[in-house]
Order: sequence, then structure tokens, then C-alpha cells
Amino acid sequence: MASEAQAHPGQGHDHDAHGVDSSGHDSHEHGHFGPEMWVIPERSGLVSGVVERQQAGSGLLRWVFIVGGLLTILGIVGFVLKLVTVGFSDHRDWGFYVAAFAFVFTLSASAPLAACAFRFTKSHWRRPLTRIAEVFSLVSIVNILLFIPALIALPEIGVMTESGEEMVRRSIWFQELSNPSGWLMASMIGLVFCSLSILWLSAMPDMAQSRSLVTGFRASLYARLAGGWYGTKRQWQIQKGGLAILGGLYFMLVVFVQFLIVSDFAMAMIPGWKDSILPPFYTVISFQGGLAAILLTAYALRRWGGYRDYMGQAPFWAASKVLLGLTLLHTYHLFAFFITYWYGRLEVEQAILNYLMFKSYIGIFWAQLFFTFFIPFPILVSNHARREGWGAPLAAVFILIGLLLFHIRIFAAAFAAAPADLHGLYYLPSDAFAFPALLLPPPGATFPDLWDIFMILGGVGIVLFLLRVGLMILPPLCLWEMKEGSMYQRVDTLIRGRYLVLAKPE
Amino acid sequence: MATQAILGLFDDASAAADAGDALKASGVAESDYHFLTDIPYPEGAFGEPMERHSLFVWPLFGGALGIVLALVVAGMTPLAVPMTIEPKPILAMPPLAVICFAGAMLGAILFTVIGIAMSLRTRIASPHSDDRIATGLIGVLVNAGAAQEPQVTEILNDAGALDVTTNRA
Repeated sequence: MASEAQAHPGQGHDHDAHGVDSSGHDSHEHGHFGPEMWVIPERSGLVSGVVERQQAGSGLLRWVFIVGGLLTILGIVGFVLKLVTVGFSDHRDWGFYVAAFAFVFTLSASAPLAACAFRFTKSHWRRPLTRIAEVFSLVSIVNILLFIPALIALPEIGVMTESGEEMVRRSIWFQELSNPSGWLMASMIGLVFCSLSILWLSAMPDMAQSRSLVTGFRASLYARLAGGWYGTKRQWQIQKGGLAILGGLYFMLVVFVQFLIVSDFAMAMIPGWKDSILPPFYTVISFQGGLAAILLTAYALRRWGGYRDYMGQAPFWAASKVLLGLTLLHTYHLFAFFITYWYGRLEVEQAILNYLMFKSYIGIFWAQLFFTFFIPFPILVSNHARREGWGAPLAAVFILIGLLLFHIRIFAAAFAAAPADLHGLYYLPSDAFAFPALLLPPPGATFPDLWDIFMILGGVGIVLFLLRVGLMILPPLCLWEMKEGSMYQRVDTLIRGRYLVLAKPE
Repeated sequence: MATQAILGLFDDASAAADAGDALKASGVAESDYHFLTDIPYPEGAFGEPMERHSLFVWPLFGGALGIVLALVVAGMTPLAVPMTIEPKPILAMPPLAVICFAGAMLGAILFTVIGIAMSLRTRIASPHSDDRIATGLIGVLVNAGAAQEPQVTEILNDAGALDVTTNRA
């Protein structure tokens, strides 16, 4: 039950199913905060309660499973038909596929970082969000599979002409003819391995504590993954230290892989596009998307999934401020990208601005700007919307749509940019590194065909599907962290209001 | 000598800490009793000694190994098969730095996970647990010889254990 129940043991207050005091208190007794702001579950019944809740399921989660599965099948159909009809001979056919892959990667790779980052800062409000963030690690497994066709579609760094001249394009790699696909794939596998390790280490106590309550596949899985967990002091210390080290390494690696993805699959694909802002811009966007996905998932679980007894409004209230900051950072980087090129006014810079923003992809650019800033910003600025808990998830919906548009605008446009020079690519003679621009005039926007649309929908679907599978397999809440939070938090009276009292052991 | 795993369950953390003090006073070695909990308690909450671990060594070793391997693979390859394309040098440091970073990260992550898996293995001679620990009870697990069982059981009961169970190895 919730905080009020725990705060008044034996005082005879009536509580409803959400643990909210329903004995006729006016809002004044909660201070300025509603009774659902802080929900602190009872420690003793948390494991069994969450396992029961998980086994009961909900209509929403069933629909997520079905819709996600259907969209995934649609994506697979689109991919197969695209492969059969056009093959990998021309990279320009695969721009929308790469955009879908990058979108899935952005969400699934950044979301687990939120669990690590907020654990580093030892914030209490993070506790109901942690496992949801970590479950995105399971979604990230698909990044490895999706990455393989993207690597195949990525044009080589250089080609050898029949006359023996080597033609190359700019890249961050050595001056070799082929892409270092091995290093790219190794980095991606390392990232997924790291995030799965974090999930395993974090979920180990929960699996050990709930293994007697589950049956079948889950019981077998829990026994294998957490069979040696007893909860000794040493094990807790190793777990804490391991999560800290892996979290730090994950942070370093995810930023690095984002840098590789955006450099190789976007910037290096557009002739003359050299932009130091783009990698950090892409990292900010990824963090924004990851947090938006977490908040949306958490809100859906709380509102329709039956977890209202375990999750209050406080996590959304607190996280919405972080989301607001990331939204502002996103817009700042976008403006910085624009103003630098606008100020520079080199021919190539004007060409890139025209191509990505003001001519070829103007429609999708403004749509993205509305979805990532003009709509979510006023929602996130509103204190009422933030405090009631629905503001951040609502803003997250728009942000996720905007980010999908961003990925289409950047990655699909990058793959379509190549003005034909040699075999449909834009390889330059090796002495032409100072070549000003190849986007004059800017080529027109490329629109997706039916298979591209299927693949983009499949990208959305596979996130939904694997997220639902993850929430079926593992406890959707980080039980040990929730219980730890119950020990350190309670709601108590200060003068006439009721507020959260926190203990900070370190 | 057969080792007994004697588990006392407490609903009060202070009582569990008292049991630990009493066990220590009766001559039970600190390595022979453990507090089993469902959450991480603050350092020293039960009066237990500071646990030390050397987990940080694993990522350092793995990272160093990863850098060396990356240097060998990515550095030696272009030198072995040189391809001269102006204006970049054959062995350019910026891309080499990118690859070395990737190698260091991969090595550090791999060895950290190996280190975690090895360090998490319990050092309890005769492990024993109870599902009720998941509900918030605190377990005091004592590994003792058969002759010590009555004394340990008495200590745990005197400290306020709700239940004491024994598992013979």
C-alpha cells in the first residue's frame, strides 16, 4: 500500500485501493501536493504483489503485445520485399531502413542510461522508473540484427576505378577502401552486452526473491540467472560496485556508438557536411528520446497497467524537469547547427541548410520542430501538467513522433543525398577534399515507398513488442530498490501539510 | 567436521545486529556468520566488518588489454598492407584513437562482467536461505560445527529470532 498507509500505522484512517486517504481530508492536509504524489509501497508485500499484478496482466499490455507483434511482422515483410525487389546494389534505397534502425537504436540504447544516471545521483524518485529503463536493454538486442543490413547498405569508403584511380569519400576512418564494419559491429555488440549485464545485475536480487512465486519458464530462468544470490553483505557490495562501473562504462560507450552511427550513417553520407555539433546533438536527442520512452511506458503501466499502487506522480514530476532540460538542449543544438552554417555562408553550408532544413525537407523539418519543441515545451513548462503526472508522458508522445521525423530527415536524407558521380555514389578523386559542395542545387526530398513505410512501422512495432516481452519476463519494477526506498522515505506532517521525509544514508 | 547452516530470522534490524554482536562475543568467527537481506543496508548497519573487494581491478585490466589488442589489430594492419591515398597518412592517429577507445571499452566491459560473476559467488561454506527474507525479514546465517548448534540456536533465539532453521551440509 501507499505512503499514507505507511505513515499512519494503526491510526484508524480509511484507505482506498491506492492507499490514498479517503476519510474526507481536504487537499490542505496534503500541503500543496495531491495524495497520489508520493506512493511508497509496503515492503513486506511488494514482491508478491508485483508478481501477482504481473501475472494478472492488463488489457493494454495485451494490445501492446498484439499491435507490436503485427507491426513487427509488417516490418519483416517490408524488409524482405525491399530486399527482393531492389537488393543492396544502391544504398539510396535503404535510407528509410537506416532511419528506422537509428530510431530504434536511439530509444533502446539511451533508455538504460537513465537507470544508471539517476542511480549515480541517488535520487529517490527514480526507483519506480529504474526497471522500465533497464528493460529497454532487451529491446536493444534487436539493434545487432538491424545493424547488419545497415552495414551492408553503407557504401564503401573508396572504390578503385577501371583506370586505377582510387576514389574516396570523407569518413572518420582510415584511408582504406572498405568500411570498418567489424569495429562498428563490435562496438554495437559491446553496447548491448553491457546493457544486458546491467539488467542482469540489477534484476538478480528481484529474480532471487520472486523465484518461489513464479512457475514454468520464468522459474527456470530466474534459477539460472540468480541461483547464487543470497543477499549477503558482500553480494550487495559487489552488485553496487558492479552497477556503478558498468554504468560508467555504458555511459562512455553509448555516447561513442552514437558518435559512430551519426558520423558514418549521416554526416559522412552528405558531401561537404562536416559538423562538430552533430554528434553531441545526436546524443542529446537520444537522451531525450530514451527518457521520453521511459516516461511513456511508466505512465501506461501506472494508468492502465494496474501499477498505481506502486508508482506515484513524483517520478513524473521530477523527470519532467529533466525532460524539459533535454528538450531545451535539443532546440539549442538545433539552433546552434543552423546559426553556425547560416553565419558561415559557405556555399556548401548553404547547400546543406537548404537540403536538410529550408528546401528539400522543409516540411518534415518544421513538423519535427513542432513535435520536439513547440508542442512539448509549453506542456513541460506548465507546473500543473508536470505535477499531475500526465504532462511529461503527453509531451513524450510528441517528442517520440518528432524524433522519428528527425531520423527520417537526417538519415533517409543522408542516404538519398548522393549526387551521382561514380556508380551512383559520390566518391571524389583523392585530391578533391577541398571540393566545396556537391549539393548544388539541392536534390529534392525522397519519399518512402510502401516497403519503406512497412519497415518504419516495423521499427516502432519491434520496440513495443520486445518491451512487452521484457515486462512479461522480468518484474516491471525494481523490487529491491523500491523496498530500499520504503526504508528511507515516509510521508509525515510538517506544520499543517504532509510532505515527504527522506533519509540519506550516503 | 560437518558444517551446519543455522539461519535465524528477525523482523527487527536492531535485534539482528544484537545477534551478530552476541555471536562475535561467543567466539564465532566473523567470516562464519552473514546477514542475509532483501535490500542493501547502509554500511555498518549491523555492526559487521567492512567488506572489501577489488572489482575495480577488472575493468582496468580489461581496458588495458583491449587497448593493446586494438593497437595491434588496427595499427599493424595498415602498416602491413600500406595504402597511400593523399592527404591522409597511412597510420592516422584520430581513427586509431577511435578504435583504441572501442577496444578499451569492450575489454573493460567484458572483464568487469567476468569479475562480477566471479566475485558474486558466495563464500558461505554451507549456504541456506528462506523465502521470508524477501518480505523484509533479516536472516542471520551461521556456519557452525555440529557441537556449536545448540549454543548458536540459543544465541539467535535470545536475540529475538522469529524462527531458527538448520540445514546440514
